Amino acid sequence: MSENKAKNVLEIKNMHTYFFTDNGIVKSVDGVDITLKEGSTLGIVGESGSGKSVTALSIMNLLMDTKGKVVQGEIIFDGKDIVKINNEEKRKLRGSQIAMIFQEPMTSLNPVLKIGDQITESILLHTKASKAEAKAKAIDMLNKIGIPRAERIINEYPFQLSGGMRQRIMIAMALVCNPKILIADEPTTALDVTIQAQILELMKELKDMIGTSIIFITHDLGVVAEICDEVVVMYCGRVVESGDVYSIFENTKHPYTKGLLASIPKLGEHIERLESIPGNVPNPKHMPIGCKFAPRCKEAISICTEKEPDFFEYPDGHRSRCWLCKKEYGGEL
Amino acid sequence: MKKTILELKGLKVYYPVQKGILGKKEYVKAVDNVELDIIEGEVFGIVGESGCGKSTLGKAISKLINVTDGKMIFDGNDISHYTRYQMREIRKSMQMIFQDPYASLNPRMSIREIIAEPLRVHGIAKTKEDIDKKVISLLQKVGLDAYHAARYPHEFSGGQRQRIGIARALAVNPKLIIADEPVSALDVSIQSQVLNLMNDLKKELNLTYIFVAHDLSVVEHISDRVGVMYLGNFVEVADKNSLYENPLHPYTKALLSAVPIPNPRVKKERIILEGSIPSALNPPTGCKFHTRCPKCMEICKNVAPEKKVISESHYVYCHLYDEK
Repeated sequence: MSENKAKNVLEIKNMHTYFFTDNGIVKSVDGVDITLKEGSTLGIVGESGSGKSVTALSIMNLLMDTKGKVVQGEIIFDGKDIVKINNEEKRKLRGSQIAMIFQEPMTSLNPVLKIGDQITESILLHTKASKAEAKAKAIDMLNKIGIPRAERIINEYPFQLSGGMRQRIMIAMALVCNPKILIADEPTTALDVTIQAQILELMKELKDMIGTSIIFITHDLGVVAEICDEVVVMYCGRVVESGDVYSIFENTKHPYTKGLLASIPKLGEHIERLESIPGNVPNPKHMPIGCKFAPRCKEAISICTEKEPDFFEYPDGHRSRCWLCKKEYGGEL
Repeated sequence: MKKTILELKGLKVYYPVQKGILGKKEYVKAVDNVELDIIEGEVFGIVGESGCGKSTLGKAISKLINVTDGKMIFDGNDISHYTRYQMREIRKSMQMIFQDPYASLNPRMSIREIIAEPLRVHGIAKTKEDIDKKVISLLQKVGLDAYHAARYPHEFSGGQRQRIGIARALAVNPKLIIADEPVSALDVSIQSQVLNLMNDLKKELNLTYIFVAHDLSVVEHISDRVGVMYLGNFVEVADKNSLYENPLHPYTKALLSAVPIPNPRVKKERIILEGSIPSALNPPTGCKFHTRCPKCMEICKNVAPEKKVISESHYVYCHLYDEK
């Protein structure tokens, strides 16, 4: 990885996020390492329950009203471990340095506040701008994201806008303070494909314009191929494979990623039967010993059900948590 | 000889909306003048964006909502104005699979009760032994086990619940199954399991599917013919290959170009449509797509396009294909 000169804006090291429920501990994120390079878009892919959203909430420190807690590991941002800083400092980061957009644009905007007030809120909170300056900045931001008649929209309410427009407003709110990191949790999942295409196009443009690094969480591998530079694949609270987008799609190493890619029907490809991954994601309270994917893995060997594999790293930085990859290179099992 | 199992003629479903207490009654034209033939044994896919009327059309065919006007000929009978009582007989040959496997199974009923209900209601199996035998064979057909019968819906994952929904639909030996977004709530690895199952069952039991979905890749995979809907009507209907390889309507072209391809080297020419789908309360005049169409002409604004037959299995509603 040393050939790549880009600075790391965010480093997650061995993070564990557990939920302490009445029925026991749920290890939603169990040892995750993720590095986000400056100016790049990192995709986190996984199925429901893989821990991708909890990873995002842990970075944003939005778990305090839940039973969840980062119990171990570091999140290094700007040279500081942001797990350890106090709430006051965390609040200063959130919204100004690290911003987030959510899946449901319908529910994540406040229905009783005008669009303008929702956008200016973070400007007024994080900068010394006056109300008039904040308003001008909000209008400027709306113009940037291609919203027509911005001067009028700021006096309207969310219900007056369509789903795609609301997601644009969310993006405007997130980017108005020029954050270093934008975390987008399934931002286009609730939208129609034609609207999704508009939003993805917009995010690409804004990334270059503002210079934000993006963490893009999704289950749609098509979207990943479209927008991401680096990809992290998660399964059962762990990263199982990571690498740059080309090597993940073309030189897939982990059987889970291979299974995911083979499961999706592709336009223009006519096959009788789709490949599928047998079985279901294991219950978080009864995790298998050994590799978490072994019970569903077609290529599993005896060691897989006994001992959990570590990461095996290829020379190009591509990593895969699989015994087979170690075996491939003649490593001792 | 191809047999038509379902024929829709000028089908309309309007939802009344009243503005204020004394206000004028207006109508949301969710399905407006749909003409369609479904052939026995085929999978007909319906795609379109939210609000295009695809789900309403599916519900209207199974008469879960009332038809405002038009004819719906199923197996030789016009069922468009059948009463609930008359429909009960028809539902033996027409069943539905729903989108949300979490909401479409009664949480207080065991799996056995859920699957036995249609058997009892339609008098297909009467004795306890008969019902048990039938329930177990249905469960096995959809890839579940006999011991699952005693469990309750909350004990199952989304994919398994969708299998239970399919078993329930199959209980009455239907000819036609209307599946409304049956896989869109499922994870990709589970989605392919359910699609494969639906494909196998279709061959085994000689079923006809109407498959409503917004995911164009999924629809291409499972369908024989595909219809693209926009604001209450079809804009293009064709067999799968001609629709995906040679789309004619500008809306179909835009939809297909917007689908993200899971290959980072493919950089597609995108047709980005401006704005979003207009309100069905005040649909545009002329061609309903003209407000977003990149190829809009003067005539499109005023005159609704007629059906243009391009080939035996391909027709389109668009002025671009008018004879000059």
